[in-house]
Amino acid sequence: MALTRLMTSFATLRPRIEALTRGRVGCSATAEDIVQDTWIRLSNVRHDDAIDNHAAFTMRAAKNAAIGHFRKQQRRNEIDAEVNELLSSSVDEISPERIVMGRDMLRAVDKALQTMPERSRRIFLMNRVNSISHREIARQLGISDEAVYYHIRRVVERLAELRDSNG
Amino acid sequence: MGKGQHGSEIERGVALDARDWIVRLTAGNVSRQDLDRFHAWRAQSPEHARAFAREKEFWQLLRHVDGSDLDAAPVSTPKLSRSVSRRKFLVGAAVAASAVALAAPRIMTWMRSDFATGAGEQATAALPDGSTMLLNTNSAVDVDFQPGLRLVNLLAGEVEFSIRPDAGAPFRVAALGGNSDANEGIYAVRSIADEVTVTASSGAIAVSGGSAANMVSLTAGQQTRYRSGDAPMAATDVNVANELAWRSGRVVFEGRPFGSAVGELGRYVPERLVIATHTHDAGPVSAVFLTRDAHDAIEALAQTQGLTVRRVPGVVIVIS
Repeated sequence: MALTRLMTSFATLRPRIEALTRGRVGCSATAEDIVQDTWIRLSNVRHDDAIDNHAAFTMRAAKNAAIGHFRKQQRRNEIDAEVNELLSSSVDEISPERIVMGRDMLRAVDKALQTMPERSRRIFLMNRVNSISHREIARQLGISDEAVYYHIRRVVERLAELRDSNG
Repeated sequence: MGKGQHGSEIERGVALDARDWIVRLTAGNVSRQDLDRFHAWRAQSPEHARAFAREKEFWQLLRHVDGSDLDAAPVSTPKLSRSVSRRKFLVGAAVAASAVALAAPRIMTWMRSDFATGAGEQATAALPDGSTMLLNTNSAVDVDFQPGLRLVNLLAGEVEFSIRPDAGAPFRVAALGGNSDANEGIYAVRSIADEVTVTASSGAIAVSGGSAANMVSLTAGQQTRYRSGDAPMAATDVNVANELAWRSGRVVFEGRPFGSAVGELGRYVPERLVIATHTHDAGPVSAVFLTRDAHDAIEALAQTQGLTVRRVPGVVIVIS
C-alpha cells in the first residue's frame, strides 16, 4: 500500500494520539492497541482526496477507536456479569445436610484428584482454584486453548463420575 | 446413571452437555454467541435446567479442593511416576468405564495412558532407559517396561521414538496387535483410523503384524503400514521430512485427496469433523500448513474447493 496522506498525517500525530488515548483509557497497553486500531481504520480509507482536513480526520478516528474500545469493554463486562450470575448459587439451596455431604464429597474428590495425570490436575487447579482463564493457562504452558479445555473437561468428567457412583 | 439431589434422573447425554457448558462458561472471555447458545440449550427442557443446576453446584463445591501444592512443582513434560497411581485408579473406575467408552472414547484413552496430548498439543517425554518420545496431537502412550523388553503401547495418535541402544532389551512399540522392534534408532509409529504406519528415520526396525512370521524390515527413509491383525505391507521409500513434518509443527500434502487432507488437519482441532457427502468429488490438494493454525488451514482448504465451513467451537466443524 502506498503511504497515503492520511498515513503521513497519522505518523506526524502519533505521539499526540498516544498521549490522548492513554489519558482516555488510563492503561498504556490498551492505549497501544487502540492506536494500532486507529492505524488499521485509516489504512482502510480508500479515497483520502475527499478529506479536506487530514489532521482532524485522524484525530477523530483515534477518538472513535477509543469509544469503540469502551463499548467493547462494556459488552465484555455485561457478559462477564451475566456468566457470574449464571454460575453463582441460590442461597435457599444450602442446607446443613448439603454442607456435610459437601465435605465428604470433597475428601473423596481430593483423593481422586491425586490419581489424575499431573498435567491435567494442575491445569484444572489453576482454573478452578486460582481462577486463571483458559487463554492465560494456554499462554503460560505454551499449549492451545482447546488443550486446556480438554484437560479441565477430563478432570471434571472423572470427578463427576466419582460423585455419581457414590449416589 | 447418577441420581442427583434434585430428585429425578438426568439422562447421561444431557449431563455430559451440562458439564461441557460448565467448563466452557468458566473459561473466561465467553462470547455473546456462546452465551446465547447456552441459554438455548438450557431452555430445551426442565431436565436440561436441572442438569445444569446440578453441575453448577458441583463446580462450586470444587472451588474448595486442595490446591495447596499448586506452586510446588512446575508443569512440564509428563512424568513417569504416575504409572503406579494410574493402576490404582483403574480398579476404581472399572465399573464406570463401559458406559464412558461409548460416550467419550477420547477421554477414556487419556485416562488409561501414562502420557497423553490433547488436540493441537505436542509433548516430549523421557523414558526410564534414557530413550525419548515426541508425542503429536491427540496421542496416548502406555509404558510397560519389563526385564529384557522395553515395551510401549501406542494407544492412539502418533509418536516418534528415539531409542537409546541396549542390546539386552529390545525396544518394542505395540499398536493394533502389531509390533515395531528396534535395538536402537529413531522411528515414528502412527495409529490412526485402524491403520498403523511405521516410518524409520535411522536404525533398523522390524515390524510384524498378525503373527511374528509376517515381518518387514525397515531402514532409514522407509515406511510400512498394517491394519489390525494383518501382515505389514512391503517397505517403501518415503520422504521422511514430509511424512514427519509434524515434528516441526507442519503438515505437508502432495496431491492428497481433499477428504483425507481435511481429516489429517482435523486431528489438530478439538472439534468433530463432519464432511458432507458431495464433497467426495473434491480434487486433490497440495499445500503446507502450520499445525497450530489448523482451523484456518481447514477453512483455506475448503475455500479452494468452493466449500463452506461452519464451526461450533469445541463441538463440531461442518464442511459442505
